[in-house]
Amino acid sequence: MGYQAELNRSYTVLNQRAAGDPEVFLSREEEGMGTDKIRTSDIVIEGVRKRFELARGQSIEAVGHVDLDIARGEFIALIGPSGCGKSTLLRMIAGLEKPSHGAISIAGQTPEECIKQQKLGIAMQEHGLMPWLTTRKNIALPFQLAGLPVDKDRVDELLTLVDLQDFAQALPKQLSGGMKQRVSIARALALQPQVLILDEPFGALDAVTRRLMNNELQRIWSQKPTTTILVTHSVEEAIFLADRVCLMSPRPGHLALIEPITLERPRSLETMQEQPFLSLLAKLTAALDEVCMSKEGV
Amino acid sequence: MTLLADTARWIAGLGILFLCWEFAGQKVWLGKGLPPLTSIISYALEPNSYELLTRSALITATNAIYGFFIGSMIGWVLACTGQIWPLLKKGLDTLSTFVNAIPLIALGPLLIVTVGEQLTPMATAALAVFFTVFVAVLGGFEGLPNVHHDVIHTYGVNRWRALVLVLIPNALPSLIDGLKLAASSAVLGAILGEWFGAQAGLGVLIVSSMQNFQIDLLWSAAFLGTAMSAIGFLILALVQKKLLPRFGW
Repeated sequence: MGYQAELNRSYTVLNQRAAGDPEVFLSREEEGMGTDKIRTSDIVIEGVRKRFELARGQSIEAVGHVDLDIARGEFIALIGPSGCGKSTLLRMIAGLEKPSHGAISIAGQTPEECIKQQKLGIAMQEHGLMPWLTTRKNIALPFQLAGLPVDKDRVDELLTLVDLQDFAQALPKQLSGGMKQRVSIARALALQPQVLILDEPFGALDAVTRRLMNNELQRIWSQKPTTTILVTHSVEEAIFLADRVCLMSPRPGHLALIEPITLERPRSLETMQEQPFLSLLAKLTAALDEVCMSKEGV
Repeated sequence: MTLLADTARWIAGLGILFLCWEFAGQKVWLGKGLPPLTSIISYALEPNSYELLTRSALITATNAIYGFFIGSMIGWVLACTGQIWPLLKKGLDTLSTFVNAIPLIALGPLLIVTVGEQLTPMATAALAVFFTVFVAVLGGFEGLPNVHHDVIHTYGVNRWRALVLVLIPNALPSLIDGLKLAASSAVLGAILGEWFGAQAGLGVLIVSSMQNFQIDLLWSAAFLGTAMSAIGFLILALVQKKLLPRFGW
């Protein structure tokens, strides 16, 4: 039952963050980020549940009771067994699903209001690039969809950011899987979103490309830390990228463990070979195994 | 090499078919209704019949082309309307299915008394085309991957912009598939419309030659109608082959 103690400790950290205890954010402060920026809760998830109605009057609860505060500029990774409701929770934050109970607010607004103001950026496991558009036009698409004039400088900046300047005129079918995901992330960042939502963006990539893409994402994120929520099946990826890793229990998913990741940034691929990383990996993998084996969750 | 082999196979297949036909016609195995192929060709190339056939084919082609464009536009506009105003979608689906369910043969006389005999072939061609295009465009819209829906939703996009920027380009392959099928339907619709009392056209030739037992003329007109359908289909297949890769498909 060591997990209950871990859970309590994690919630204590969470509450301290919510209360704005500057010590909790020491590692981020050391990196030169403004404390006022970090202390502000960007996303508040309160008592969120999601129940899907099935045929013949039956229903299924995908997400149990979830409470979570996410600070501005924080990188959160959601991990958990398949079908635990990670993606559903993410979709509720993105305003793509409505919670059955509870509320989600992003800087004091509902996700729907944030959508109207183009405050969200999204990248999924399926890259979702439009096959008829070039890389440049795919990145510019959010401007057009939002009815805004295309900011060519911003598109150029993003092409440079994801290192695809040479492929600006290429169609998606001419790009590799990793390149497509980079375009997808660049597109998600096009309108400088307040919150970046990533649903297994590298899930379809091979292991080597995935590691390289993790490094790329970290580099991109480090240049302008945006509040990011990542759903992943890879514990390694979650630890490498996130400030906190949230482990969800099996369906109906709730937060079984919240693990702060205090590894120094910038993290490199070598970080994955170091002892603190490996210890976290062992701990979270064991925790994941335990919640997977427990039908009732932790 | 593959193209060459494919073409050779096509020519060989058609050659065998025509040889069998010629042989069966010469031997009168299937009665006088199936004349030898050479007899049909020589009849069609005679100056008088050649002039009659080309004039009729031109009229039918004009009716089919107008009907094709009008029907395509109607199908296209109805599908887009349902997408922009979802409240209308179910009604439009039902209306389109209902109109398509009425046999053209039943609509023909009604069209004669409403739009007149001159426009009837065009109208029947349009009616034969619109549903195919409507279903094809609708299929293209509904085939939009979920992830694209999510992208559209995330940017709080309005329906017009979603239609123009994502849905229509995404429906392009499905639309061209539909148009390929509609090309044949347009010719069929135009010929059928001409049966109901038009002054000229392949439909008129087919009916009159059938009644007067002008078998060579009947076969020549039927061949021309088939060739017209095939040409329409091939043009659109070519468009599909050349155009779609430019759009990343």
